[in-house]
Amino acid sequence: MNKKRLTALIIGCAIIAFFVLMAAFPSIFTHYGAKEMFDSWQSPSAVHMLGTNDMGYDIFTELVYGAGQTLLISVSSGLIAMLLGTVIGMLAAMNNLVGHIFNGIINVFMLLPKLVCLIVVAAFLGRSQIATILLIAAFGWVGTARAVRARTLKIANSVFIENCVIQGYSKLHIAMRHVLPNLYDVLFSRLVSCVSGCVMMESSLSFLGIGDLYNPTWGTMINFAFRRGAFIRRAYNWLLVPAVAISLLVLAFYLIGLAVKKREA
Amino acid sequence: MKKYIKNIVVCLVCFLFIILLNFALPRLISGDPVAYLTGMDEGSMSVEQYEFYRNALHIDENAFVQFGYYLKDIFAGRLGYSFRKQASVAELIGTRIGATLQISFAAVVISCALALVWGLTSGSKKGLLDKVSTPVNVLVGTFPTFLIGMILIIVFSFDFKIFPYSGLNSPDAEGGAAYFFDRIYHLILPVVTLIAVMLPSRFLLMRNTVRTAMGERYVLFARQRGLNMHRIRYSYLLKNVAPPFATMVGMSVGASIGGSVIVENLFSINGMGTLLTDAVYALDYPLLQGVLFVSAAIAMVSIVLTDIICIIIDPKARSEGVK
Amino acid sequence: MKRCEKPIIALIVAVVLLCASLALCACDRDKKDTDTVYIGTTALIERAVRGEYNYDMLASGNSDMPLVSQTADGNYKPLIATYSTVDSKTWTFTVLENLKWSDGAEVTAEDILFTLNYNDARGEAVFNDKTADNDGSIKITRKKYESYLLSDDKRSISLTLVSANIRELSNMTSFRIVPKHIYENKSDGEITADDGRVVCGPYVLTRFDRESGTLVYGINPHYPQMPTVKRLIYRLFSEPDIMYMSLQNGDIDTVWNYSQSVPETYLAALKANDGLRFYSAPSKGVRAVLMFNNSAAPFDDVNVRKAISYALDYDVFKNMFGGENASVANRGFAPMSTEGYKSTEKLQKNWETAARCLSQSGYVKPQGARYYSKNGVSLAFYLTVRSSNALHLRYAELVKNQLEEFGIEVKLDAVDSNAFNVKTSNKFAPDGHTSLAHQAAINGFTEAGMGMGNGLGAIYVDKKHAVQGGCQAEGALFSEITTQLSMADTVEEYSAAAGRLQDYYAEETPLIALFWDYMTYVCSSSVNNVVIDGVFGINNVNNWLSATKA
Repeated sequence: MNKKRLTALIIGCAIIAFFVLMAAFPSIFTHYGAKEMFDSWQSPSAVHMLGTNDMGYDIFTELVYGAGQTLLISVSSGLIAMLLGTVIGMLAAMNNLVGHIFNGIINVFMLLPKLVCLIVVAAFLGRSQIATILLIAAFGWVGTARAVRARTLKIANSVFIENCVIQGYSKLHIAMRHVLPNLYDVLFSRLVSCVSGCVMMESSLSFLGIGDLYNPTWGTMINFAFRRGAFIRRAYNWLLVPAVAISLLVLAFYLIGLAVKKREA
Repeated sequence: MKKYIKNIVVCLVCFLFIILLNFALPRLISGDPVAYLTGMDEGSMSVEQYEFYRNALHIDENAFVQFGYYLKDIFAGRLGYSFRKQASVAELIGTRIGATLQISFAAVVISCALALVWGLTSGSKKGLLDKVSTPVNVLVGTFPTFLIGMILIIVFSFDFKIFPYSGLNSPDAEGGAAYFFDRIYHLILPVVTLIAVMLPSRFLLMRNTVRTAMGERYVLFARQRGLNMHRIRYSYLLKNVAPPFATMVGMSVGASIGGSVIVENLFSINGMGTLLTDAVYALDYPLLQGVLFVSAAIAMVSIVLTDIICIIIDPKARSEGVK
Repeated sequence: MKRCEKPIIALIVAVVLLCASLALCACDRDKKDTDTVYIGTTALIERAVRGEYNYDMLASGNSDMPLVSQTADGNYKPLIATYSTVDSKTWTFTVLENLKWSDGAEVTAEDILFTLNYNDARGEAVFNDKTADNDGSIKITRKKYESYLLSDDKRSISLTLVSANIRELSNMTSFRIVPKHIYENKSDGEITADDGRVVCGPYVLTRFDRESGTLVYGINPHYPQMPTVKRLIYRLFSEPDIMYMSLQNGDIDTVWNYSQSVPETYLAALKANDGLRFYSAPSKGVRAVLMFNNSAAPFDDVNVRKAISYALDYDVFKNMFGGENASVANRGFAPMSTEGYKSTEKLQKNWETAARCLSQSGYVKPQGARYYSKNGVSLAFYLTVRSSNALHLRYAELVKNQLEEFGIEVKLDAVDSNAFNVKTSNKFAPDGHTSLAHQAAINGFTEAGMGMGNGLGAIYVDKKHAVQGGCQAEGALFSEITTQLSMADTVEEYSAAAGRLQDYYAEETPLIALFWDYMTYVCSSSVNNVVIDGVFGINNVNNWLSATKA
């Protein structure tokens, strides 16, 4: 791996590790409670690194605890989306009616206006966290499915698969024991972009106010800032920092994906 | 030809899926379907009203009959009635869709045109432009929509006070030309925001397509013949890149409607996007379904249109049918 | 097609730039009509016709006036009719001279009578009792008036109440009339939008631009007095933030929302602006109320209610959400400017008292436990709050933080307005309910709401109230006090009964006022001679008849 890819990988991993650490061990980063109240609307200072918001919570503390929320929802929905995408992708690569149906499903989902669908179905399903995770996963599997399908088609034409078929192995056995292990590099490179897609969807949903209001994710923090007077007070620390955190997270995923992808070129 | 016909069919299936989703959701989710379909809580209706709606919505009949009525309503243009806002959904959307379309279409057209030119130039040359453009676009592509919007508002509306930060018109603007230019003035920032959101992915797509196309033989031959890059780009590459470009434009419309939801929220514009968020806050189910239906319809129509345009302009597609 | 592309692209860019620069020049953003007052509001107005609640509230202040107005210090002034009464049972209203509808027809007492019958026909118990079938138990709302007498010249009407009400005029501050000559021969479906905009006030709606969200009012030529402000333009905003920023920038002159004071969050930022003036008036409303459902566990136990009233830190509420005139409320709930106010014990934080109240009901918090519990079950409740109201969400969050610190678990139940109404008011609750669905809720009571019925917010407390009744309080003592209130014939009798009600609130704690505050209004300093109304704040007819814009 050349130096550029290595730096990209290191930076990406470092950022993600930083956020994961924030999520898992919030007390390392901040000794304030998430709902501990101080004077409202303070600017960034030595005592409060990012200042305080309208309720007097320390914004950096909210960011730290929000990291856990954001990562939990994004990563879980990303993993579920990956699983869904892999299964559907492999099914879509089959050469029979089932394959055509699933291929059709992939194409259909590609064309849907994602955010609008997300919002409407989220309104029907209510505010639970699990519903949100499942919902985001339900719209995020498409890219993975396409990549898996393309790769499966390529693999299916190779000689060793033909060999398996001649030997009479069942389709399920071929899929699980022979095709799947060869999909790992596709899956890994798709994992990062899938999760980052889920991060963006989650942040859009929570920016619009759909989500847990008491344990805010980064998107919800921005929603609060926007609706509770941050603009008029020019409280950019509250408005912009969570958004920058979201960008950093997505960027980190992209960098890792970049480093990994070039390897197979 | 077959490929595009297939695309159109997929489109229609997708639309059917949305219709089915709209139909199924209120009837499958736990809770009273009457409440979901009228948008009112069963508690706020008297017994007679409830019975009336139950009959009018044909809840008690089997699924196929209900679906038949539902389709009939859709074709008649009846998208439902919003009790929260005391107006028919079609009327509500009709008054607001203009604003959304103004923002979305402007953003789609400008961002796709820019992506095309920029992507072509950047993909066909391995120079400084590419080295700078690609990382910049990647970076901007990681910004969530609201971040871009907020930065633009802060810089241009607050600090420099050049552009307005809300609304579609100043209250005083009346009559033809002044109203028109006032509207453009108010639309500049929202459209720029949406362009900034959509451009990076389009640019990268175009650039990668062009990059791949540069490896084709006809490019090699053209360069051997001594044609300059400009000629190669716009006479050869463009024609080969056009079909994926047209498809990209078609699919952009769907994405831009989603993006416009956030932009309209940020800029307080009375478009379909704010209608959607209002409906979510008030749990106004008929309105939600209506907006979903209309957005999907717009997205599908644009995809079908671009596919048709592709069929027209792509000689390979037309001749495929002959084979 | 060789070198055509570059010029084409250059042309497109040039056209776009041209449009942009023209737009920039064409919009003279600094041009502001000095005869116009610009008012910002976040009210959700869709159709701008009579009958739309939010629009009615807005139009009450300029075109569709109520019968009388109440000034900030509590006195009444006639808007449509003068009033007189001898025994508070029979009220005589005489329509003012030369008052005309915007289509030229004269306003007479027949319009008042027509409106009363019109409302009666639509379910309001005006001249006839109304019955509502509540799943078997019939609820009767008694009629309000037992008789009327129209004068011969059709200019006065005497209305006789079923029982004397010394506060009848406060109901008349929201009583608007409809034009008989237009409405009498038309069914509901035949009333057009233009019909719905025929008014008798100083202004008339001239333009409603839904796309840009503006309502433009011009002078009603038939109104006998010339308003000092020639034109009113209301700008509809979807976010209060954007609205207050417009105010900061001078794009609008003032801000108005029905019965809402400028939130403290914005006040602090606005006070730095020299171009703005602030007006305060004592408020009869309570904007931050913690309602208990007195008929359901755990708040059917007075000890639990009292414990919470001693567990909250009211100074924090006052400082965080209240302005400079804010104060910690009394246990008697009704603010100091309320008619019949009686001073009761001030609410205060006292955890020992709270713990004592809880232990009287068997709740203990063993060493190391987080919450109080009884028989192994922790004390916990759901706090219902409107998810669309950012201020209420903050109140709810603060209540939750404080109570959990004390040792009671609070679960936030943020719901949309409709679900909130279903859970907290009798009218919207499901038929046959024995008790409302909420355990505790965060709500805000407007001045009008506090004054309705027997006053002192009783409609929200009384379980038997047909529309509200959120606190679901009942019992012999409460019924006796409310009966005494409604039977009061004189001011003294009313004050005595009101005092008893406030003592009841202090002792039984059916609800808690989280803090009291004045109503604060803001207006650009280019507008002078501002008159504040007791019910409608800065957007009221009297204001536009005297204010001048520099």
